[in-house]
Amino acid sequence: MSLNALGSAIDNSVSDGRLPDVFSPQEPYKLYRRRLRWLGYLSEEDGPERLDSKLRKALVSFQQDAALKVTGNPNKNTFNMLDVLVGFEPSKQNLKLIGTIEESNISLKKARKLRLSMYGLLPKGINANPIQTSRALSTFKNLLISLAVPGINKASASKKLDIFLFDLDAVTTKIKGIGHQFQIVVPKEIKKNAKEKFLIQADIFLRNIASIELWLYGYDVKINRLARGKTNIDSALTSFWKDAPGSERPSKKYQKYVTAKFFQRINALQDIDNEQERELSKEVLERISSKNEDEFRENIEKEGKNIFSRLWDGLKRAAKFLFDLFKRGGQALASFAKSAARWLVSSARSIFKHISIVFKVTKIGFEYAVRKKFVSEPNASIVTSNHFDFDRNSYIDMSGDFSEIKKETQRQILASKMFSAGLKIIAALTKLLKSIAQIISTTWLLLFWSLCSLKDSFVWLIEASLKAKELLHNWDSLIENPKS
Amino acid sequence: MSKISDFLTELQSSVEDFSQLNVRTFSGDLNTTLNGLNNDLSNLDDLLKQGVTGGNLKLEASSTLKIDGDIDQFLTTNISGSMKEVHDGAVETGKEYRSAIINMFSDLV
Repeated sequence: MSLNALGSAIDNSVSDGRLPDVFSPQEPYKLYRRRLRWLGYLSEEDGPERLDSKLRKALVSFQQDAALKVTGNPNKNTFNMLDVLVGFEPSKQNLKLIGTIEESNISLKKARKLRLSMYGLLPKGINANPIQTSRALSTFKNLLISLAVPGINKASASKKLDIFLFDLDAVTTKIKGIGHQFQIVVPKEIKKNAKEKFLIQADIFLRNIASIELWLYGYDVKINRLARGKTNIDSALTSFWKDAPGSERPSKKYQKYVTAKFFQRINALQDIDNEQERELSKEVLERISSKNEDEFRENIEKEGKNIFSRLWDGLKRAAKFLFDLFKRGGQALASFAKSAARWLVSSARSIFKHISIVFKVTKIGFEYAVRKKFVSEPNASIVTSNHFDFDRNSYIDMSGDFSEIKKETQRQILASKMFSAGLKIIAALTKLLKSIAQIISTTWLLLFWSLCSLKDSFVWLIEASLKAKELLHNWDSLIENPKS
Repeated sequence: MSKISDFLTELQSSVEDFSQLNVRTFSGDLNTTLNGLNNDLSNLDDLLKQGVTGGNLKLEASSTLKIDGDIDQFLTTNISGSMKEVHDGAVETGKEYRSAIINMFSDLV
């Protein structure tokens, strides 16, 4: 297996979310913030994509509690310590750290509480008192005993339990069963009246471990609800089995339950992952050992110093930045368009209803305005003659019914008001449509203008690149012929 | 002359007349005046004119409202309250229509 394969494997792990995207400058900060918040050193996970005062303060507190060198800066030791204390599947190298941490270490105590709460055994999490923590730890020990974990018994100390507490795989591989049923033997120490409670706790424990595994494999699980044992993983489980080969899939009835078969599948996947990891490590080690170490380092350094590689790296970063920018812009536009469409669909009916009323009102008023003569009936009491310029002649029969005459007069007044109101709204609507049309046309013009400016930037970039290429050529010539 | 040119001539004279609004109210024996109408409204204006000139209908009130706000008003002696009310209603109607058209154009321009 080549380094290219290693690169591809790392890329896949990054895209799966199992490894931090170190290429993205904000990712390490994001990871630090998340882990420090889980341990209670930060009140919130969100923050700027840089080392701000809050993160620095949290790092100082953590480094003090973890007995690390206090710098307030993220560094290798801090990262490794957070990896082993908070990461669900820390690297084997970092796991060795656990044995070296003293019992009095404050961050270790906090991390134990966090783990126990994630496993559904300590609802109060890092705020739990020592008695509650001790009880939860005892329950955890009993659960390991019930799973027949080798080397764990009634007398096992906390330090021995840490190996299982901080390494999820160490627990998952010990979960056994036949078919869908788990193989759990309730320890003798559990009294008869507490047996049912213990089995409920075991159920929550197994469900939470399954939730974490699903989360690690990228399925949608609300991990922050684990402590309260309220995480719904039905859909995540269904998706998990949907992704599994048909021969492995249980019947639909069992696809929504956490069963022994689920852990068998998880362990099988884990074995494949470990095998690949071992293969990769072996290949990398072989490759490194096959070369003279100094030569290897020299090549790497030379490669790093190459102007072209730096330029290429810079261009890659710039391209990534532009891509992200366009992606975000596109997402924002799509979201806006979606909201606008939703608003239009939901309001369309009422808008059209209102517009139809406006046109109806205007139509009635208009009919009265343009109708030249009004003769209500053969023996009309009033006849009104309209002119194009709104001049009006009213002819009234003196023997006619005056109440009818007044009624007709009122009708005409009302019609004129309706016409006036309708025209006002139509004028406003026309103005609105005009404005929308103007906005759309202006936007296109702006876009066109921006693209023209962008073209200038590209021209500049090409010229600059050519200049850089020339410099590189000169550089190479100078190195090849130092005397020339 | 074609219908279009008729319309254009009428429109031209009307636009000129927009500057003032004339409202007139007549009263009299309307049924006798409209006796020859027979549901055909085409000769209504002629019949009404004949009614005015023949003395069947008399002018009760006339108002001329200019665009600058000037109002010329004629009211016959002893005009009844009801007649005045009908005339005022007609004036209000005419004013409303005229202002609606003027406002619409001023809004759109």
